[in-house]
Amino acid sequence: MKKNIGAGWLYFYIHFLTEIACFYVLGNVTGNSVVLWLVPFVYDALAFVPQSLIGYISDRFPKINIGITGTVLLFFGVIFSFLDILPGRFTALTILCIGNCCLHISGAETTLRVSDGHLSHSAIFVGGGSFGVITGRLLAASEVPFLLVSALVLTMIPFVLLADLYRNKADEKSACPCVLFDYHSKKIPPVLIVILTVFVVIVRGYMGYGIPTTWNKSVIQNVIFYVTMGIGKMLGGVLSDLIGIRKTAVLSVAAAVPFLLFGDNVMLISLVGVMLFSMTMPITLAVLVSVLKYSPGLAFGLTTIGLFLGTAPIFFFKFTTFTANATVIIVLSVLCVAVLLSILGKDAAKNGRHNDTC
Amino acid sequence: MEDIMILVNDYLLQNAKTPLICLAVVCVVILVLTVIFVGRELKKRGNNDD
Repeated sequence: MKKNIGAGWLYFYIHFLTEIACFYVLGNVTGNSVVLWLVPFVYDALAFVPQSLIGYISDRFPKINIGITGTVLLFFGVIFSFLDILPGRFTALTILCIGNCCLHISGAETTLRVSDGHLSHSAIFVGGGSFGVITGRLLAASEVPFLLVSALVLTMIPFVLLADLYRNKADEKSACPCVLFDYHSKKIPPVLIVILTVFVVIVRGYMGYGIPTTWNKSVIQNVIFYVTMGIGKMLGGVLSDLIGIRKTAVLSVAAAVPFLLFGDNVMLISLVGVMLFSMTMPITLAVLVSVLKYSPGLAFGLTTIGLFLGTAPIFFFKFTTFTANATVIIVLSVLCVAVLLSILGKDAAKNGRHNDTC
Repeated sequence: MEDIMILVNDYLLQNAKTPLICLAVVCVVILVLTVIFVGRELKKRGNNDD
């Protein structure tokens, strides 16, 4: 068992509950059809894009407890969404989204700082979200009262405080614990690595939600889809620590292609493809942190911006023919393999130097 | 082009222009700030590496 892996599991639970609260609110939003279509898009934008700013603030002002701030905002976001006492159609949703952002950044900062340069911790934290998304949707479709969901949000407080203990310990040991992340190629300029990594995240966002999955019709199939995605993200981190980040990255993307191509109508094939492609998530995060060692929050925010850019087009258009989809999947996957091969350093160089001069 | 691509949300584009424009402005401002911050961090990193 890896050192400090408990922080990853604590944030697995926090991330799980965060997504439950958000998707419970989203699932309960009613109104005219324009609002119904618009709300998920606004949610995606406000929950994903500001994470870079909040991450930067968290990096610069570590004394702000971003986890507790996020919990309080999420709590009031759920309450105000249902009481409908705030002016403006999107005010409560904005509070909810900012709470979501804060908790994501808190999870990323904590799991990255305590991990001694490993990927498993942040991968476990990130994996919790997919389970929360589907649980939140299921709860929204049931008769569960919003007060119960609000109470669930408050149960995150002891988990955040416990995870803070891990973080404080890591921060005491080193002023910049993330200097141990050293996964990027030294031959490419850092700015280009950032751009190329964000490109891979954009592709992952599209592959996860934009590829056709006509098999996905029932609730249970939807549950399995999200669970598989979560497992893929966790597996990506664990495998990278075990066999090396470069091998995991290239094998997962290359192996995913045939499954994504022919999985439109066959659930099992499609799930394997989605799981394999989701494995790139912790890898891209690790590369960005390697480049932005002194700003892990900002690095995490870049991945969520990429995710938004990858999922945003899906709200507006979809490819309808097999040929068009196949072309998009193959071209994007080949590009991703090429990009990953160029931006990732050799696996042997994983355990990088450690300096405290930040 | 219509044969291979469909507009999922044509209705949204027609009826929710104002909130979408506001959202786009917010997102662009955050993106610009992010680029500035990333640039600053990379510069700082360069100085530290030296």
